[in-house]
Amino acid sequence: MASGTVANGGVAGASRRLWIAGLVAGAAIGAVAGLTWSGRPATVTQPVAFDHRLHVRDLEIACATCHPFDARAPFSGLPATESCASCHAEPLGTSAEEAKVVAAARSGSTLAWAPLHRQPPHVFFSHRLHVEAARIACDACHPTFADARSPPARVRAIRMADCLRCHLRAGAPTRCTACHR
Amino acid sequence: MARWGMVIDLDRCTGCQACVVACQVENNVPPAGSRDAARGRAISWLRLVPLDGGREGHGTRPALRLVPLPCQHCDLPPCTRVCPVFATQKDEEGFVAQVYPRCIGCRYCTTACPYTVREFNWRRPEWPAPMERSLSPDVSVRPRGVVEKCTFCHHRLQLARDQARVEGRQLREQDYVPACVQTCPADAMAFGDLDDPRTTVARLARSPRAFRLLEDLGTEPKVIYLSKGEWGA
Amino acid sequence: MLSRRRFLGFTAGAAAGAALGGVAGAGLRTLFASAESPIVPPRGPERVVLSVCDLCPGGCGVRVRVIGDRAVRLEGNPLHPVSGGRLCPRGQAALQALYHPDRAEGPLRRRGPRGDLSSFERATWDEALGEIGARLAEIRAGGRPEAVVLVTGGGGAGLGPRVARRFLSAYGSPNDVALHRGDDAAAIALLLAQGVRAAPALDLQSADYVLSLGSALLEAWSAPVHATRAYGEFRRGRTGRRGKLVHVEPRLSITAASADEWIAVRPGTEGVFALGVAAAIVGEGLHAKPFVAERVAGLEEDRDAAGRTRPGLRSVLARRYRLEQVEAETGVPGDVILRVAREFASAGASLAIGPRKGPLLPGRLFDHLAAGVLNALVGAVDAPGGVLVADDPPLPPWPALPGGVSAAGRARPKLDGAGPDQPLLASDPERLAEAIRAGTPYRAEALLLVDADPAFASAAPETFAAAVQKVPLVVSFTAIPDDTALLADWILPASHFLERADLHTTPAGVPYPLVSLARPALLRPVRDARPTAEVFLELARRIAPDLAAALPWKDLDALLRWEMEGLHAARRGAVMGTAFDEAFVRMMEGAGWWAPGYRTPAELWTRAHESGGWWDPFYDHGDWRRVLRTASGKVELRGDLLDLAPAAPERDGALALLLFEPLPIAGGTGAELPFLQAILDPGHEAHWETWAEIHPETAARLGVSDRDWIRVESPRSSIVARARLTARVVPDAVAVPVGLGKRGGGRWASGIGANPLRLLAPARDPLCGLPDFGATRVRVARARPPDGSA
Repeated sequence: MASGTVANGGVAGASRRLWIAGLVAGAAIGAVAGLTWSGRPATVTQPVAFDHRLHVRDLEIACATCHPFDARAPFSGLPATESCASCHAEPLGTSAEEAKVVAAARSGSTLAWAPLHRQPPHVFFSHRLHVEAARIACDACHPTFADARSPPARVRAIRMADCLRCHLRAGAPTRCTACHR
Repeated sequence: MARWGMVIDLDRCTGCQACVVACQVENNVPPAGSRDAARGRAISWLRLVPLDGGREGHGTRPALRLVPLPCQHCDLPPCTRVCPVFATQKDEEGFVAQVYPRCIGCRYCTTACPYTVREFNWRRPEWPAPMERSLSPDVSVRPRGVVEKCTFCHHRLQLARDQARVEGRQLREQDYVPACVQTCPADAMAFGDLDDPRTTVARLARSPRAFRLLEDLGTEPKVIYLSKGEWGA
Repeated sequence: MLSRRRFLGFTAGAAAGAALGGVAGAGLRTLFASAESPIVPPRGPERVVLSVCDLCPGGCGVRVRVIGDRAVRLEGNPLHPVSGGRLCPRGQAALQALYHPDRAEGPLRRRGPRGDLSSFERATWDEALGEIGARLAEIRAGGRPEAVVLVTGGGGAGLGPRVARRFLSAYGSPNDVALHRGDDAAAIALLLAQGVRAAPALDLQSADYVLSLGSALLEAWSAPVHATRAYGEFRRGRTGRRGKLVHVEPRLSITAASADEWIAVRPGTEGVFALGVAAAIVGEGLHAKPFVAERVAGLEEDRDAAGRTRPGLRSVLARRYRLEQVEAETGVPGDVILRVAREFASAGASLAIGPRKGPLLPGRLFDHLAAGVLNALVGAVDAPGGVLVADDPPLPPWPALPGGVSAAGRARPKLDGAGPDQPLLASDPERLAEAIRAGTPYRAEALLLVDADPAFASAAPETFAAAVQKVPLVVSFTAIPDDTALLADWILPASHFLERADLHTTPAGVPYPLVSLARPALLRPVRDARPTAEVFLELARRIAPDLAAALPWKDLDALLRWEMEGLHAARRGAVMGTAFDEAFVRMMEGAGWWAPGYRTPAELWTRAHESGGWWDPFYDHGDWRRVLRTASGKVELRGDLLDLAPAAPERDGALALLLFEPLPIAGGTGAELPFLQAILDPGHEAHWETWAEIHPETAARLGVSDRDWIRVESPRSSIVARARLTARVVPDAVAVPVGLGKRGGGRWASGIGANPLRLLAPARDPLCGLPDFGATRVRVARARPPDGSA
């Protein structure tokens, strides 16, 4: 559309119209990207209303028990149904949500957890390095989970500013090439 | 802090262009068709440049020289100084880096670069299905409208450093080499820390055959070439 | 087009707009990078799988990085003796072949006119094998198994062609025809000189002086990565000992560009030049006299086995290849010839290499024999830095072939006449094409094409295209439908090498017996493709029990286990390993010990798969009974054949057609892949089109300017190409690359460039009967651009 404006307009008017076309196009892209920046809606629904607080605070289960991290994968893993089943093969309580987990474990179907974080492809981030080598606690970057009673639903972007705050404080590299690719 | 550099021995190089394709595969460069190629819009971060000295008589050197030309990662890069948005910068380790999300596509840098190694994305990169399945997850794809160039495969350094730190050791010389260096069948390319006198690159850079391209411009390239040798030398 | 300022204006507007649009928080940084990225990250466990590249006959061992169900990177296997951890541009582009959008989706059956991909429709494998198997069973039951013809191409040394050929013999046909390979002429020269049937292996890395007689040593050589690695060592791998490379050819090739000296000879006179050098060496008495006296026959006059007098090479050289004669014929000054002769005779380890130009262009036997003379004169036979002969790997024999109808069919004369009519040739594909077309001496009822595209890549593409259409059942085993497949009745998609297990034997040009192993990198093929070897095993089961008994394996893995058990029983060699392992094995075997590092067949199986395969790195130099199997037990110099130098071309105003094969598209494959089309020739920065190199003086005479379109016309056909004016080719010649000009081959190959093989005159090499790829004379004139080009 922008190029159509250029082709039809006069030379003097073209620049301004182009600027406006850019404005409109940018606003449109921006609006769409705001919704789909991470390729999915800003809120997600989890298959089970998982209670992090119960598991993390009350039962003192370590994050890595259910979220295994892969050495090179951009994500820490989402829980495999088998890891749920290691405790919930038989019902431990009476909640309807737990019943879903037990049913999935019995039928061999998969609980499709919806990821909340997504790493853009131009960023290199190693969970392994931050968790194992630098000994950074999970809640340093994921602070809200452990106390949440309801299932996590809001997609939250971790921004470069978040990374830099810590990197500057810890004297970790802040060169572009250290993380961008 | 390391100062990463490359040595290319023209006496070993056969002009096979394995480096050229290795670079494109490693860095998710999209395939171009014949039309884009004819318009000079095919992207290649590393290419072979023919230097033709014309005809010669019997008993002399062939006048054709094929020179692999990656980004020279100059210590005094002309490209970074003209960027209006700080999308290209030289960092402490010597990489001349391109920050794609900042780049506005003005192409001042492609004009400023005397080695003509910067490439502009004229179109949205496309991989006809199922070709996108071969893309490497280690390198991002550049959108239309930005400039891109050789990175010395610095994503490999990120991975190598990560591995070394997890293993609790220092980075070793062979942990990190760019894809072109790794594939070169003639072993004509070497890579490493130019400031560490024990590395192969530092040793080769001291060779009497060493020279750099357009040295008189004062760009201080970190790609060092070794000229062809003499018989018996 | 947008001006820069307007573009900036647009960008600024877009930035402001984006901010309004509500992504200021996320920032343009992330917007740009994520909105357009087509990367859906691969998921799943990451692993490394060892395989073998089969994009050329070199058979490089490779490591594949696999994430989940995707292969995302190919690298050389550092333990593999051919690749040594390196790869050539073809190997680097192999994933483009794996994920090529124009691979056949599954078996395709032709329903419409030949020559058009839209005539084909999908079928299941069961339908395909049922129908083809039934027809083959019917032909065999009718007592005419010889009517089935197999044509194999110049691809890798994997199990596909081996099983196909065994299938054909067991089925009962003698018509096992291989397209010519680049090593054919060199192998015939070795047979005549040393009585050994093998492609010569060159010990380049130990040589001090290499005289390349128009060879493509640093381009599409038999195993390009192996040769290029050796070249690096030859140049700079030995402190204080830098080898010298002198290249003789009418064209400054990529190999010539790497040489220390390019000697431009007149077209077709490389062998004459070599014999001029030989004459000077013998004339000055510079040859290796003890070696020649002990191991060389034919320098002086003698009698052959039948008692006939044969002229000694010395007298032929003195009479026919005197300095001034050679100077006049080759156009090279006498002092240069003399200097090369003195350098060659005194340089230490000298090596002459014949004019093999690529997988399709073997060179003339005369020139290869001339190179052999030089090697014999300086003792570069089975010596370090000389010509070596590889031993075959000790793989077990396969079950015996059936008798009855099978044996009777095998006893019928071959359609191509190779053997009786052409004693030096194992196959004569051009004559096969003529015989099929004429229907004599008998009709071909089925034609099976394995890795073969003779309607594009042979010395007679048009004849083959016509012959294929005479056969009632044509089956092409190929991945991306090629020119011949488009003419077939069935296209059976062959799996990519990353989709199957395989076993490759020693590639031509490598001096050690080796067995490379491949595991499938992908558990499910990208398309509904199958390994060709398994298809033939299945066909054997469907056709007859005696045929199945000759190929008794249920799948590739069973066949691989058979091979590896036999290899274990041979009690020699070792699994591939590091340079240290290699040195250890060499030392032990040199001392008469066998130190394999494995005991049981199961252990060999596991360890060979972990390293890439098995080999025997010990080369026993001077095992004369193995490498000299002539009647005399010596290297035989053939003065009788070398007296017959090819005639000088007529002065007819036409130009000599010089064909060459750029590595990216050598062997008639590679043009399918866009990364390879983009790098056809770095010397001319040529890509995506066929060009013709012409000397500026010749071009001026013809009124042709640089980058004009020209028509190159032979008595047989004509092509249109882009003129490139260059002093890198001698006057009175035009040099054209082979490998473009396909009809098939998918979106990146079809209709790009022109195929100069169509120009070839039907001439034969007078000494051996191979096609003479250097005999064609062409005329050149300006032309209109080909269809579809600017």
